[in-house]
Amino acid sequence: MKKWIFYGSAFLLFFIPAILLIVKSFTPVWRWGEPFTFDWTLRGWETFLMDARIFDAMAISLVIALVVTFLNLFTGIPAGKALSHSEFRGKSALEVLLVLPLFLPAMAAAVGLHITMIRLGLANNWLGVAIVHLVPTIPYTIKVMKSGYDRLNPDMLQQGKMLGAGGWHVFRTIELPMLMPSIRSAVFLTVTISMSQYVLTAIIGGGNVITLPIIYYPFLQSVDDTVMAAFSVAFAILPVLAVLFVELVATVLTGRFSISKRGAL
Amino acid sequence: MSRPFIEVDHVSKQFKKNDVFSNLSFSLKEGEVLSLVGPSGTGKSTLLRCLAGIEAFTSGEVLIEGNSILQTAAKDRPIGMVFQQALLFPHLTILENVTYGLRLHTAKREAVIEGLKYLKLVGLEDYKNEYPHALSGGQQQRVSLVRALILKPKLLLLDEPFSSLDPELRRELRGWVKELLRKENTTSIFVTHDREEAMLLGDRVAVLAEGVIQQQGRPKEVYDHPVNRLVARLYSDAFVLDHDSYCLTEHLEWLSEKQEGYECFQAEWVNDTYQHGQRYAHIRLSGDQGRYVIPVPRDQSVNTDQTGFIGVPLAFIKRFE
Repeated sequence: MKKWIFYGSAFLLFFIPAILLIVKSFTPVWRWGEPFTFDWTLRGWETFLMDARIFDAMAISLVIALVVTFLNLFTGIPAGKALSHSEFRGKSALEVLLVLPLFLPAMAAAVGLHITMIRLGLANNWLGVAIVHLVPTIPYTIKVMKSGYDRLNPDMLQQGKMLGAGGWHVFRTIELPMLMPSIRSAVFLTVTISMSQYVLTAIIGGGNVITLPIIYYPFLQSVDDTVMAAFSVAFAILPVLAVLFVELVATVLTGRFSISKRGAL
Repeated sequence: MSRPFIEVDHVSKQFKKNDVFSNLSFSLKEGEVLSLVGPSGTGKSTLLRCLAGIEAFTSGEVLIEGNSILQTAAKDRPIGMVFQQALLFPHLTILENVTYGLRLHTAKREAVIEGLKYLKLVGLEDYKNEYPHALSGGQQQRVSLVRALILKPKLLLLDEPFSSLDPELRRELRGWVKELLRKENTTSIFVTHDREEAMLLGDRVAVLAEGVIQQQGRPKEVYDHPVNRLVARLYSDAFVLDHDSYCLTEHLEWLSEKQEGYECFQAEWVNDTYQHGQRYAHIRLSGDQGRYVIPVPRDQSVNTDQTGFIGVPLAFIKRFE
């Protein structure tokens, strides 16, 4: 029954829209009142490929998203662990403090950080953009990793040590595999949020860092569904690539391919 | 005299300035099993965690074969621990779980051979490629035990390993664990709040209450000769008359009226139960001063209003020593 609901809703809410989007990117614009026709066209994709910067933009988007993701995990995992497994004064206050950036309008953050970024020499280059993308992503990662650690019994990690394993080994062989579901959620969120940033990228990147949204958004003003669909499809492929890359790194680290394992987590 | 194998010397643990336990001392011979009994919340688990190195003692010394271990990190101590839950790593197969510790220092081939040997020992070799969720609670706990034993620890700590299992399984498992510990000649400390388990597994028992070891000795010795009220209540079956004297409940009698040669306490017969053919009366002292279970003859009748006396034969009254 549960499986049925899962597959049913996945089909309805994910599969059908995805298929429609792909079909749309190959069919011409249909206007209200016109008879239904099934013409095929490559115009959407031709427009997409017309801009010579498109592949550069995809590449830089991907690089920025990956750097943002790893910075997120690098800070989010220890922070989530501390918030979940340790007790200290002011813990709840700190937890609230760490989520506060989400309540800040992106514009305010960008304008506020701009001068600092210029001083640090990080404005107008991709690293600066990656760093500023941490503002809307890190709160989520910390939240997700904290709930991941909440589900992980601290004694499980002690048990690893009792069997003679050092901290790093326990992290690689027990923590990381058991946290993979949370890490996946964090990676998806981070990559998608990073790739959707227009304002932050535009201001801090100063027009020098051309990511996909920077090219993509001007097209929003047109009402050309076909072109938009082509962009969207291309855009949707990027997070998948990023997630595959993270999986690859995790596989190398843990020495096992976690996605295909039957062990229930 | 040679030094004991394991020596725990005046260890104390404070938490936020409160004593969890203080000045605990005991020692173990090689291959000996010490049962540590006591009510929950008396720091039994904390003691084990400190010995394991997960937490630190406030003061005191622990020697294994004459060498202090307290400066050694948890991962390097020659100590194994089995927790209340089996804590098997869910993403590893049973065999991978068992060989987890071995694989750190041994090649995979040898680890697998050794792991299979131990799995066979606990009758779970058919499950070697299964994942933990496919096993029952008792099977998981057995895997957890061999996972610790395979490393041949000098000291094995068992922290109420059966407490999450149902009674049937507990009974089955404890006999089995005792045999395994003996076979492997593993020196162990077994923590429990169940005195039956303590007697069954321990070569010696120590009663820990109110932060101190109240008494230690052979299971029967402690049972027959409790040294104070706490031990009498926690470990023995004794009727405590006052601060100084007690009588084992096996000697108590149910009297419908006061009799010569007995010290009598007014009481109410609550109900009775049978175990292995023996009838037991559940008695409540009047004024609600405690409940006792005493053996009674099967044919003894009870007054209709169920009031009477607990008779303590004067000859069996002993003093705490």
